[in-house]
Amino acid sequence: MFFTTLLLTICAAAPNSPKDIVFPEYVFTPPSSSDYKEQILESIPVFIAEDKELPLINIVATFRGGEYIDDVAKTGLSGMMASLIRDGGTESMTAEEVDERFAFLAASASVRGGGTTITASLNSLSSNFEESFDLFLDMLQHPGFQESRIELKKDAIVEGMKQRNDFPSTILKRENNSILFGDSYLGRNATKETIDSITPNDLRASHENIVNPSNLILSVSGDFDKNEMLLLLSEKLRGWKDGAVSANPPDVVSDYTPGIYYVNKDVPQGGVRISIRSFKQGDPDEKAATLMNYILGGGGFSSRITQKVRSDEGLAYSAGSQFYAGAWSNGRWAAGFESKNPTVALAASLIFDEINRIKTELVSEDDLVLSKNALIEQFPSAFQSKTRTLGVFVSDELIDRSPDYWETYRDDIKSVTAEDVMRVANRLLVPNKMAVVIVGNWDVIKNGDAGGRATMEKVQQAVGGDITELPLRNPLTLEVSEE
Amino acid sequence: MRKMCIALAVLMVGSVPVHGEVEPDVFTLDNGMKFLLLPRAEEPNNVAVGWVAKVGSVNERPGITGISHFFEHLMFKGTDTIGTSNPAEDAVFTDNERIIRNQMLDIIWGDQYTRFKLGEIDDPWDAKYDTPQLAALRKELKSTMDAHREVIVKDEFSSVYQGAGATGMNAFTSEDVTFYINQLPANKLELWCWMESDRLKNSVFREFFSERDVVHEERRMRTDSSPTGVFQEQFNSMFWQASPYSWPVIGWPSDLNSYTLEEAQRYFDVYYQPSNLVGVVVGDFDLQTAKYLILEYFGSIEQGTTPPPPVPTIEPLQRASQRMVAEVDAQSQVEVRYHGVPFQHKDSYALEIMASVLNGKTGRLYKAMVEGDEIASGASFSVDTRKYSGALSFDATVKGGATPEQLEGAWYEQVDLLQNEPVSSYELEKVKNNVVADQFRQLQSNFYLMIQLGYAEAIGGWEVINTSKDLLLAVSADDVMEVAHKYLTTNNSSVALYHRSEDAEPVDGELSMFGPQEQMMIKQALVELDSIPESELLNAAATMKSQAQQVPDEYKPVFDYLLKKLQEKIDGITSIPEPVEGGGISTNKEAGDEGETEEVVNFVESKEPLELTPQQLAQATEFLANLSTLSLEEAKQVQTALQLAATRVLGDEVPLLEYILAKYAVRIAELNNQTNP
Repeated sequence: MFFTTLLLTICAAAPNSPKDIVFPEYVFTPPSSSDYKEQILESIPVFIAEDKELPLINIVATFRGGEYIDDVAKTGLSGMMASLIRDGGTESMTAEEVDERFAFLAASASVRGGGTTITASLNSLSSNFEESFDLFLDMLQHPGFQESRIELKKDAIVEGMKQRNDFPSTILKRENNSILFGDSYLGRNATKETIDSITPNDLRASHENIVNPSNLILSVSGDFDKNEMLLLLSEKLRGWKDGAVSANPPDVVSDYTPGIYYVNKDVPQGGVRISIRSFKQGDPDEKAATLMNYILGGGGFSSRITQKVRSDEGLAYSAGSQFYAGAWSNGRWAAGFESKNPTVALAASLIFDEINRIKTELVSEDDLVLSKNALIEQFPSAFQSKTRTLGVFVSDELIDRSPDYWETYRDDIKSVTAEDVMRVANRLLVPNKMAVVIVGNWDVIKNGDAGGRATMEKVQQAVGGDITELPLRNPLTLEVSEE
Repeated sequence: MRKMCIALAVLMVGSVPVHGEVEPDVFTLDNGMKFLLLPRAEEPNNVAVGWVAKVGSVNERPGITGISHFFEHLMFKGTDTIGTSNPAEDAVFTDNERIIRNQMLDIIWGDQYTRFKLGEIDDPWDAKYDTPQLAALRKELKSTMDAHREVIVKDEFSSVYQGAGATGMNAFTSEDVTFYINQLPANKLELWCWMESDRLKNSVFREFFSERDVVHEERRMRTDSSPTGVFQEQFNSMFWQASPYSWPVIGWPSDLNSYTLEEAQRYFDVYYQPSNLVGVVVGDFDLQTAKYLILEYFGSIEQGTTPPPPVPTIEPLQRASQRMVAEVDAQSQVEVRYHGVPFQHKDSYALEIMASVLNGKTGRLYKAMVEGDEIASGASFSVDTRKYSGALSFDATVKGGATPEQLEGAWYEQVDLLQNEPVSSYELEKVKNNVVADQFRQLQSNFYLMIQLGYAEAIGGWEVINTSKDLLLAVSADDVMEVAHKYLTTNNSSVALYHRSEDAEPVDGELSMFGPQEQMMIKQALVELDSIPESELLNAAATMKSQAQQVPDEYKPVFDYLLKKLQEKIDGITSIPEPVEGGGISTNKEAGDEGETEEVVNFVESKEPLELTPQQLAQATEFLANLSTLSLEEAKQVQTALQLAATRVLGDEVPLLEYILAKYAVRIAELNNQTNP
């Protein structure tokens, strides 16, 4: 207490505004991947970091390959293969034995299939890491695909499908993806038929194709000695047969009809997504678009859409926009909100007003500075922990990103001007190329609010294109039921 | 300059976790505000910061239910300095709005409520029934609010943090606490002290009325649009007979409309006085600097005049089991809930061990119901220990044609086992191995550790983070048997049965596989099937089977389907649970036109083209490391915080958040198929 009292007398009083606070200098240099990257068995990249605070080891095996590789008639195959690596036992152990062993070792293991990668991760105590890792490798190399677990998995997937129309947000997301990405791997979904058609041989073939050392990138962090760990990994992985190298994911070019689409559903709240394809990572406008979106609807409470729709009008609990540039295909910009049916049109038209405004008025210096500061100040959090840092490097390795990307990131953000923001807004936000998808009670939605401020007709004028009803699809076949 | 003099006098105080234990420095100010400070090197460059008010819906009363949560929203609206360009004018506007609103309330609570009670109008709050005087006041309020906007600096509170690189600004409210959380770059600790002490000292309840509309939308999304939301609310109210845990955290709609500024101010003065608050800082910071800043900023908050009143109501012993039967537009499901114990109760550890034996892929419920009998698509048991009391819940969702009643019966078999046979030493050892590993896993993230410390301190004591491990490891098989006998009794149970509504679109996934004509045939046949008396069902099945050969191939699937339905009916009858003892209350509730929800459960099977990068996956993995160790309540708290965050994250963070939310949804669905706000 004496100490702090002393300080109080020496030092000045608190500033009147947060702007006047003088923060200690803080220099952050992003870590360089070359400091963490090693190679084992002459071909497998390993990103490795010691971290001895807790007696835990975290290892992630990322394989190139995923849904884009699946045969359309067997949509869902690689995802099912991935989860059955974990749940289907090994050649020498039953699924139940594997589960019991992991549980007894208190190790947490999971395998997840995604659009372009299969990711297996293990978190175990360092004291029994070797035994946990042996089991982890056994399931990756020699999965059992036990018949009973295949059936159980199929049932679970179908049970999940049954709920596809229970929540408006699921319908919204599905229909939006389907319009924007067509029947490419980004737009299509598994059906009962595609899941039923998957055989044990399909699972084995998919496993052999994707889960092999030729597609593997490893990352490991935690309580170990780096050299010993590299030695152990080489020893354990030696003899794992190379396989086919997955081709890069395709460039998904979509061809959709812009306009308004609605699914009529008797719910108290309408959900809306307004979306358009964006561009690829590395596009010269990527940073400007990120800032533009931050100001428009991506920056939470300080963004214009959130302020207008939520704070000013109280029309929605969540309202905002997202932008991302795709690694392999053009990405997406999307705005969304949910509001009671009568105010859906009003909220949508407020969003189009904001779109128009950011295209025709230069953003203020304040808005620009705030969004830049936010992105620049948040930057170190991307490297907050060892696991997170290694995750960045694995991601870069997958898409072959230039090593100086992170070095220049903050300068690239800084150099964006208000003119850049306006230019990229005009490039990206073209209403008559947008798809607006709505799920809600259409009869109420189309007439708009009681005050007569907006109707769907007015929104249609902003978007152009037709208003099309999307009938609710059968949750298992995804076909439109004949009624 | 100030920083320099501190830097000269830095003392290293060791409080880094050793052996899975944490030793935060406990620092209490003269005004009573307590701080838990835990410097850690694990995650450099950032500090996880938060403060918790020991107030939640349990401190409310009928008439102001939901005000704790509403407060949480108001606390982001700014202060005398943040959020306005002209504090003096701003205060005048706020006061004028208050006066107009109070005049409106007089009319609504008077004339409008009378008309409502007489049956003349169906909603006293609906503007379409406004009297001319009320309509005029409503108009005046609107124009005052519009004019007020001129001096409001929109969401400045958030902007200041965002511009400083905050990544976790958020808050959540539960039955027991209201928690304001954040994560900042390591050099921004002073900003947190400035902003948080400012909103404790100079809070202004700006945009009181438009924010209430936001909360109405939130309620509409979380509760009204959820296929089971309103029923869960009803079940919860039925479960707690006297405890203030009986009302929803988000509040009853009529109460949401009724808050007044005066009531809000009284509530703030009582529950946000410094002695009722706990601050927590975890991460990359210097302890002495932090203490200095805390003293300087939070030290000047005025002490409260009267301490918060106690919560004296003790939930009376439940003397008869209760049942609620609902029709919902969702998968059929069941919940069996029992009164349990409060946080840190001596029996809570044996109950936790019992839950671990039941849960997970190798737990008893999965083995018996998901894998064995294949009647459940998910089943879980959860222990919810709150500040004043607690609850134990078995939850399960049906698979295929199984019924909630079948799941209920299967659960009672498990209860029998727990009560009559000691848990095997293997099961006990497995569960305890995980207790040890989880003790470390819970320390992996600063942010999560900050929440845990604050939460535990607010409802009991932070030390439980260190002491619970040994108490859990000390639980014996006999202890588990004893608590099973003590708590899992019929009279102590409340059962909620949710049947998928017959006219909901996806009545039966399998049925929808048939063509429209076949569906018609099946529906007709099912009606006939329903008319068969129970005693005749077995005969009917035998007859059907004997005719199987004569069925033309094209109708084979229809035939098989019907036979299956018949068999399910037979199974359903044989496994109907014993009638409940005593005079159970039976509440039958027909489903209205309840809608559906912004539930996160749907991420499970949904496809997200915003694909997760491995970088994000690593972030997610890290964030999710302790998920398996969370109790239902904890998982829900984090989930709520995350859902709130959904409106605040950056574009490319969205898939990450959705992925994490999906994992939470799966876990929560595992633990419990309900979603209280």
